[in-house]
Amino acid sequence: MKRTLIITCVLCLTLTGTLFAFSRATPGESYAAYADATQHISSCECASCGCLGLHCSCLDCGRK
Amino acid sequence: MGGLLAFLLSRATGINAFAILEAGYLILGLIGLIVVLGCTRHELADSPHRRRYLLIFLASLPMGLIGARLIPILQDTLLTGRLTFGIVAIGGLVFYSGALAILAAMRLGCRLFGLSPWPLLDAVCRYAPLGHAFGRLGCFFGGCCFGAPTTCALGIRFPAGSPAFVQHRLAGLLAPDAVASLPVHPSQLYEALGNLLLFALLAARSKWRGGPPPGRITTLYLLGYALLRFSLEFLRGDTIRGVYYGLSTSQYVALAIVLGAAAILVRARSAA
Repeated sequence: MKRTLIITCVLCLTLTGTLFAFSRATPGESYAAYADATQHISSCECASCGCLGLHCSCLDCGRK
Repeated sequence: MGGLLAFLLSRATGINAFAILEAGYLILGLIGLIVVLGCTRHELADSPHRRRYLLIFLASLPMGLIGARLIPILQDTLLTGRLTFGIVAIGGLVFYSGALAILAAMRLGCRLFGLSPWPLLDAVCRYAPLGHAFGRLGCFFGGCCFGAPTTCALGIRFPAGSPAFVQHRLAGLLAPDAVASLPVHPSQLYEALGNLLLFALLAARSKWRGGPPPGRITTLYLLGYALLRFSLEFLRGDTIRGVYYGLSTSQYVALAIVLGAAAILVRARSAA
């Protein structure tokens, strides 16, 4: 159990570091390409599942 | 952030970017739940009521989902002045109210079965911070729960279409050709690390002086997380979570919990 918990904590820390490093190291061109690809997607399409997109609710999407 | 990562992975693998994004968000959340469930199961291995406790735990999860929807429904209802099916059925989840609903449901379930709630609640609360840390990585992946703009070295930019980007754009903070948000505090990662620290402290307290009395780990978890959440909310930047008179909804909940938990600890100390 102790070993499992240590591995789980290390995995969590590694993921935290990896995600932070990814967000810091991604070049501007990738951000630009992504912005270009998502330019015509509405916020409702982005918000396909709860907090994934623009809103935590679809109030502003016209879906009542 | 996951959107950008999914987009890059999608370009490399040909898999649909939205599928990667949703899978990443859900998988991290599920890992958190599995961690708590697995560890709780191990913790209760010696209990003669282990099966009943696990049944109560699983039966309480839907109550957590309902609880997690309560605050968004309340906020949207106050915002629009009416309660519609859309407001109830569609929207986000709030961890704090969900967690409290699960704990209350577990306590009620134990009472119905005639069991002491503390073995189950203490086991769940001991491992909840570890599971929650994975959940916060899911938030970072999804881009929700983002931090306030910052110029410090830890600041990160969220890509176009992300909640941070859209909020900054709507507030007129971004240039028309901007491809990312302003640098913001990675508040999701702060909370993941804070939860790991809380987990370590609770684990140390569990081993200290032959183990804590029943209910103590639950109280310490509620107190510890309330302090963590209250502090980190000052670094949050998402306005959608609701800010009233300078404090967010979660900060009001955290304040109430701190007062309640502190009163319980003081009463326990004076009784000892």
